[in-house]
Formats: sequence, C-alpha cells, structure tokens
Amino acid sequence: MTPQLPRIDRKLLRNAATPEAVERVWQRLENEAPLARTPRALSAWSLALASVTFAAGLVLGVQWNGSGEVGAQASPEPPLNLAPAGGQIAPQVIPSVAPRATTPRAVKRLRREEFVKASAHPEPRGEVPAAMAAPSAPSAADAGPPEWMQLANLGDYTSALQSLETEGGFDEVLNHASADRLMAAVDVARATGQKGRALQALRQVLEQFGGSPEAPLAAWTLGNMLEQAGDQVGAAAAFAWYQRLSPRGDFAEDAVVRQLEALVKLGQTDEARRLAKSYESEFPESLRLRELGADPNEASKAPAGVGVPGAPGATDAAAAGADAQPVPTELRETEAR
Amino acid sequence: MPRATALRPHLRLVDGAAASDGSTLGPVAALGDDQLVRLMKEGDPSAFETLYRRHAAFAINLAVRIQGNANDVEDVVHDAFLRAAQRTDSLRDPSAFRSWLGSIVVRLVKTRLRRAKLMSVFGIGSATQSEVVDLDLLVSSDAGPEARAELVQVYAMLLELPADDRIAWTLRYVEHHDLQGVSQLMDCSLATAKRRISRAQNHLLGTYGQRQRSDVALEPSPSPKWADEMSPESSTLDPSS
Repeated sequence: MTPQLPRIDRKLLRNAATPEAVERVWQRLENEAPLARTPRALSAWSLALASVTFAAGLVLGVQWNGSGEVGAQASPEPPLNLAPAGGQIAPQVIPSVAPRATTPRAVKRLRREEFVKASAHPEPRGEVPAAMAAPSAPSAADAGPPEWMQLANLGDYTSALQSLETEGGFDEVLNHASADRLMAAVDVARATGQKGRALQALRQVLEQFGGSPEAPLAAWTLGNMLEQAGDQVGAAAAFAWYQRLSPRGDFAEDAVVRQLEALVKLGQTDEARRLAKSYESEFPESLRLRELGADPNEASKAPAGVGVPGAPGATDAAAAGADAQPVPTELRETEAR
Repeated sequence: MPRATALRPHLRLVDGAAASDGSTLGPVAALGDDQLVRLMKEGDPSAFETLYRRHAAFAINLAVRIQGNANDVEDVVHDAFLRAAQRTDSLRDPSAFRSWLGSIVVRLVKTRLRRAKLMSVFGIGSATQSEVVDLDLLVSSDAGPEARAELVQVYAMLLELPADDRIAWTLRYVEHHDLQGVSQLMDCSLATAKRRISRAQNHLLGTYGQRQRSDVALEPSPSPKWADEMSPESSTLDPSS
C-alpha cells in the first residue's frame, strides 16, 4: 500500500495573528519611524554633510600645502599579539566583503606558491598595522636565492637544513631574510621537526612583512600549527589575522570557522555566537551552512573535537583549553599540519 | 523614549481591530498595494501603516507555520516590515508587495533556522528551541483530535528536514501557494522549488509510511482522510496545479 500524507486544510489552522500581536509589532515599528521617510531624508542630509566635509577638507588641504606641513601620521593600529597568552580573544570583525561561495575542503591540497597567489588579493591596507605594512625587504634578493632555499624549493629539506647551517643557521637567516625566504625557512623547519623555529619565522613574517603576499599564508599556517599544538588562544588570533589580511581570500571562510572552533574550545561562547552570526551574514552561500542545511542529523551533534568544555561531547583538549594557560608552543612536540 | 515621542505627530496610533477594515485609516485604506507603495516611497507614513495593517496577519501566520511555533515571530515580522520600508526602491512591481514581503519573511525565518542549527553544531546553542511545535498555536480549536494528531505527525516529520525543504513543502502544502508562488517566496527558480518540495515529499512519505506500518502493527487505526495530490505520483508536481 502506498502511503499518503494527510491533506492540511487551512480551515484547521489557527490564525496566529491576534490583534494584540499585530499591535505589539506595530508599536515597535512606530518607534522606528519615520520608516518611509528615512531613506530620502537621510540621502538629503548625507549629501549636505558630504558637501560640507568636502569643502572643509579642501580648505584644510590648501592651508596645509601653504604651510609646508607634512601629512599627518596614520592612526596607530592595535599591535598584533600572536604570542601564546591565556587572555580572552575577541573575535575579529570581518571587513564587509561581497558574499561569496568557497570550497574550504580544497584548501589543504594547494602548494604554498598557489596559496600565496590565491591569498594575495588587494586588501584594505588600513586594516594592517603601519609597522607591518612594509613591503618585502629586498635584501640579498639581487643575488638570487641562496643554496638552502633552492634545495628547499626542490623539496630536499634535509640538504637545505645542512646548507642553511653552513650559512650561519636559522638565527642568521631569520635576522636578514625577506618574506619569501622566511616562508622557505618555515618549510625547512617544519620538515625537519623544528617547530619552534617555524613558529618564530611565521611570527616574523607577520610582524615584519604584514603587507606582503606571504603574510596570509603565514597567518594561516601559524593558526594551523598553534591549533595542532593545543594553543587555541594563539590559533584564534592567527585565524582572525588571516581574515584581516585576506578577507576575500579563498580561505577566509575556513579561517572564520577555524577561529569559531577555537573560541568554542576556549569556552568563549558569546564571542563565538557573535562570530557565527557574522559568518552567516558574510558567507550566506557557505558550503558549510549548506551542509548543515542538507544534513539535519549534523544539527544535533557537535563535530569531533568541538564542544563547550564540560558539556557532553567536549573533548579533553577543549576542556583543558578553557582554564589552563596554553603550553608554550615552542615546547610542543606535536607535528603541525 | 524621546525619539519616538518626537516622531509621534507623523504617525497615528490606530486601533488594530478598527484598522483591519480600514475605516480609520482614511482614504488611503481604499488604495491598492501598488498605490500605497508609491505613496510610501514619497514619504506618506499612513501608506506604510495601511500596508502593515493589511499584510501583518499574512506575515505572522506565514512565519508561524513555517517555524511551527511563535518563537521570535514578532521579531521576524517587525524586521520584515522594517526592511520592506527601507527597501521599497528595490521592489520592481509595487502591486507584488505581498509576495515580496512574504519572501522577506521566509528569508528571515530561514536565516533563523539555519543560525540555530549552526549554533547547535558548534555546541553553543540549542536547535531544539526552534524545533518545538506549538500545536495550540497552529491548529484551530475546531479541529478534531484526529486532524490534530495528523498535523502533529506532519510537523514532527517536517522538523527532520533541512530548512529549505521544510519551508518549500510548508509553503506548498500548508500555505497552499502554487509552485510559482513558492519559488517567488523562496527567491529561487521554479525547478529548485520543485526539487525541494519533491525531496521533502519523498522524505515525508517514507517516514510516514514507516510510522503507519508500525502503528498498524501495534493497533489498527481508522484511515485518515488522505489527499490525492500528496500521493507519490503527484510528487512530480505539475506547475499548473
């Protein structure tokens, strides 16, 4: 027998729009008034304000040029703090970008060069601290890449490390390296198990070459390594920094989710909620959201490793991350991704 | 609230019952939606109020029936009218205000449902609050116990569906919009609307069949009145229906 569903007769449905409900909503709407007039009135005022501002700027500019003053200093940006710390991580507000769909799962297969290229979208430079916005240093660039870097680019990291040691070792290289050499040094360090060196180099890229095309990759890699090492505070900060560096980058969506996961593991649920709302509005066509919509079973359970500390399903790591100070990442022996 | 007080002279607080027949809204109450939208664009607040009074019940019921409960429904309707008032310039066909408003309501409810799921996945919220079916709110007191039981079953199964499928099916078979109407309300293509309804229909039929068989095994029950259009054959969903 073929099952059939019951017909839902509208006569059987109650009218939920009681006069009281209608009136309550109207009272609120009335307080938002003048609804219909707002856009036009706002437009007129905006135009007038813009005109006055422009005129004032023009006058100031003329006076400034006349007196030979140098342009004003850029307003200082808050310093980047990616060092392990036990403090609260406020979710970074993602700069408003056009909603876009991405394929987060494709991230891991990309090589570094592809990643750098993919992440190197023109970004609002105002987001980057002035001290970090310097372009890649051209030091020693004219002489071509050193031997260790050539070997690293060939994938021979053991030989690259030996060559690097003959050139003074990591400290020497890190002191004078450009952003691309620092990233090559990161590869060598990671491949040879020197995660502390790798973290040091990644932080250096972000601190010294924050405006370089390599910076988003550095932030992303740093987030991955810190997360792997159990430093959720540092990971959240690094993923937030990736979003600031590359809000239109191919991995921006993943970075939001990774930051969100880190915040959840830290028990910072209010911040996580705010970020989740921001995520939803920034990525309305998100594959992750679609996955949620397509698989209702997912809605009833948190993914492995994600959960409020202390809550059912929370992992030990998540629980530990809520209260304990993160272990310094340099002491960690876990392999980064 | 000083701001509201200052703005009061522009708006008249009209009794809801009296306003429903338009008797106290003046001559604008007799105008069509298209004319009211044009007046609203010109800054006539009474036109907005008339549109609100005319379509508030539609918006509230739409939100309640999609969700299955009244959680945040007043927020949804408030936001929907607010957006509508702020974005009238994007309404190409002023006479289609009602369906346009409906699409805003649907989008807001969908966003709410998705957010609840997202929060739940990250372990920072509960999807259950948005997944409670308020039967007393949904079902008329005139409905008999059998009809109530059927509605409970249907809504319980709907809750298992993804938001898009659930909304599409509800619009089609609870709100009884035609397929074109469903696609407009969901701001998607006709094919997508059909696909969502069909997917939901198949799920509901499968689940309902299982439950029916288990019920029959336990205790024979009288056959409910079934709708022919809900049969699997009709799940191909003729657009002309």
